[in-house]
Amino acid sequence: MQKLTSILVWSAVALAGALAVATIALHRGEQISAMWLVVAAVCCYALGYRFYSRFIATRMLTLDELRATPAERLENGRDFVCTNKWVVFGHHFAAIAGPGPLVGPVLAAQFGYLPGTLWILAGAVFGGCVQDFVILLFSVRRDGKSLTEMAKSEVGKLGGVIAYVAVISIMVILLGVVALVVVNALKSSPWGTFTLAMTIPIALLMGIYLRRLRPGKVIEASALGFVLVLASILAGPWVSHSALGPYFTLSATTLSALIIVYSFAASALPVWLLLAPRDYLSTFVKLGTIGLLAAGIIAVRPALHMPALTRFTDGTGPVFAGKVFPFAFITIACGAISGFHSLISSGTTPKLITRETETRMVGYGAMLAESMVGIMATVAACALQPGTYFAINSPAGIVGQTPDLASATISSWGFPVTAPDMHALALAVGEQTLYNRTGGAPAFAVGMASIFAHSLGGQAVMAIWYHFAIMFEALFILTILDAGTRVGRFMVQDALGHLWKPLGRTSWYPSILLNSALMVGAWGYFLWQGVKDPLGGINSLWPLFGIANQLLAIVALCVATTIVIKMSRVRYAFVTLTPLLWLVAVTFTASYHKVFDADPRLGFLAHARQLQWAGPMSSATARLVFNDRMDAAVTGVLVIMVAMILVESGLDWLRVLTGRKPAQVREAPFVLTRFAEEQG
Amino acid sequence: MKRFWQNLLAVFHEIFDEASYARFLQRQGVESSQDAYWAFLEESEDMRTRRPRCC
Repeated sequence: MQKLTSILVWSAVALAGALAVATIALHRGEQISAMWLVVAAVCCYALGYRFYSRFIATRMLTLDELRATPAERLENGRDFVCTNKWVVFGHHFAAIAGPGPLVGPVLAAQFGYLPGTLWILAGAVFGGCVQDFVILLFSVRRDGKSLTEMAKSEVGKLGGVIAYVAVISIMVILLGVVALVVVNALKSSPWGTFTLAMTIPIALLMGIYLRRLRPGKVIEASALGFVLVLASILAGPWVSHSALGPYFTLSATTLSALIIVYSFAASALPVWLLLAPRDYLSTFVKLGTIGLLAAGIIAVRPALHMPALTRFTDGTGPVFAGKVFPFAFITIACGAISGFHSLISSGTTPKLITRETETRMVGYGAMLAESMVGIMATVAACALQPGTYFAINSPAGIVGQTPDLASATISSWGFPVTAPDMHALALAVGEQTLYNRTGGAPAFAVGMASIFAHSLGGQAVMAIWYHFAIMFEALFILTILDAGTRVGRFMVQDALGHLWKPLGRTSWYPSILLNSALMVGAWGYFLWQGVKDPLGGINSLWPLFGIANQLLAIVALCVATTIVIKMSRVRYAFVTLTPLLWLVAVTFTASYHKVFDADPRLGFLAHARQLQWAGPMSSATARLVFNDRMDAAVTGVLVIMVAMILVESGLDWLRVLTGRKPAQVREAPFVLTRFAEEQG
Repeated sequence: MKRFWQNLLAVFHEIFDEASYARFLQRQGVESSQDAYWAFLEESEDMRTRRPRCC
């Protein structure tokens, strides 16, 4: 009876999912409700978790409930701690969810809602969740080793070095790109800039509260910080219209310089003073906002005004250049598959897992939750009128410098928008203009504010919701910048310590300053080139980030496939091999186009040639040419390195499969868990 | 429902390092104080600063 009920329930879920996906995929020329996306996602995730992750857990990985995890064997009350599975799930989700699943789907919405939605669903179920799950499990079976350590021990020394360089590279590009997103969101926005600036003294206050007044009461301090942040959002309009307004009305270059200086200082300051409280505050705001957005979408059930497919699938889109294949698949990384997650899955999380079987819920399940965030971002972007979406996300270099010119260009594409409408919208959200606010964050904030305004407070509070969304994204990005700079600084210190020992000492101040400067200088370069780019920077830098992130996923899936083959589970190797091959096709094609495509909007080298042939070069043009060549070189080097790890892995698989190398994995020895004894 | 809220609270305690601090106090056998929290921060600084945050 129970089995029959189960069959009926899952058949109903499958039918509902199929109906929702068919509705999303087949409707043309009329609006659909956002709830179809939500239903499709929930059904796909439920089916993926119930059947595919179970198949992976039982057949491919053969999770062993009797095997003690490092949290149990190496328990020290610090980093190795047996932790409740729901707690680990929440901890892991908080670490993997950032602005990526919000920004990527917003940018990819230029193709329409269909490509992004399908990629988020399929990419997560068959790629991202699989990567996070298997890397987590393999790390658990290796005493919580990191991805680079596993690459070194399972693939070889070269694999370890490449994984290390790939991690550093992606961090540098990632930090430069997310900094550009925040700069584009805050330029000439005194309200937003004031709110974000206030988070620094608020975090310092929280640090003092935690250190002096109520030691260790972090939730209390975070709630207090949240209330203060809300107060600063409410004070924003007053400040922006007061004598202080001009001090917070900053150009993109000034904002960039301030962010670079701030990140350098944050990397060298003691953690408790600024970083830790900001981290707590941003996590608090992030979890609350994601919950609010989910509730808002379900309450409002907005219609999607964006068509399923736009004319820009042909590669002529204004937000970023490139055809739907491969560029939709690198634009949306977090939300579908993100190589960066493999660092979290082989970082803190494996040291908290109590039972091996829990890796399925934590690794696979948390990624499904993040994918849902990507779907919500798609809804927020596609609920906007397409004309509004393109007016916000298109750079002036493409649509024109004036509101009238930009509106006319966008309307000529078949997406009507008028300058008075955009002006009214800008006033409603408390901004001077919304034209050319590239980067995804402002479009997401307008979409989120529209959804909230329909459910809580009406149009009167739209400006509050808009700046709440901007503050949330900017706060989280700033946290990524300071934490990422510090993590990167440690990695560079580790490497330079091999050259000269004092440089590796994390407490030696000259080394701290030098390595912080190296790290900030590296991502600051990408930020600066993005700010100076007449096409808005996102056009060239977001694809570069997407390529780097997906290349890291290739490294992770190479390591995973190598281990699967060495475990003598060759017949199940397709589980990691399929997403690996897909990502190779996507990233290598995208890289080829970004470097060699003849279209100057797409190919770095073609753009450099176009600038060179345009006439005598000014110093600014010479800098743009240098930037193009640098971007091409970075892309090329990353692709070559990943190709090397692919070849090395492939040869290793061949040696194992032909019996020339023993199929031997380097797992920690089996120890019976004490929980088995307790269970009898 | 009660269990759900308990789990949610436990998640927050872990995410915000309150559980980690409680374990520290238990391990050291001391009460919460400014000095104890300072010692906890010093001990966990290295771990915290090396914790990557995803995009």
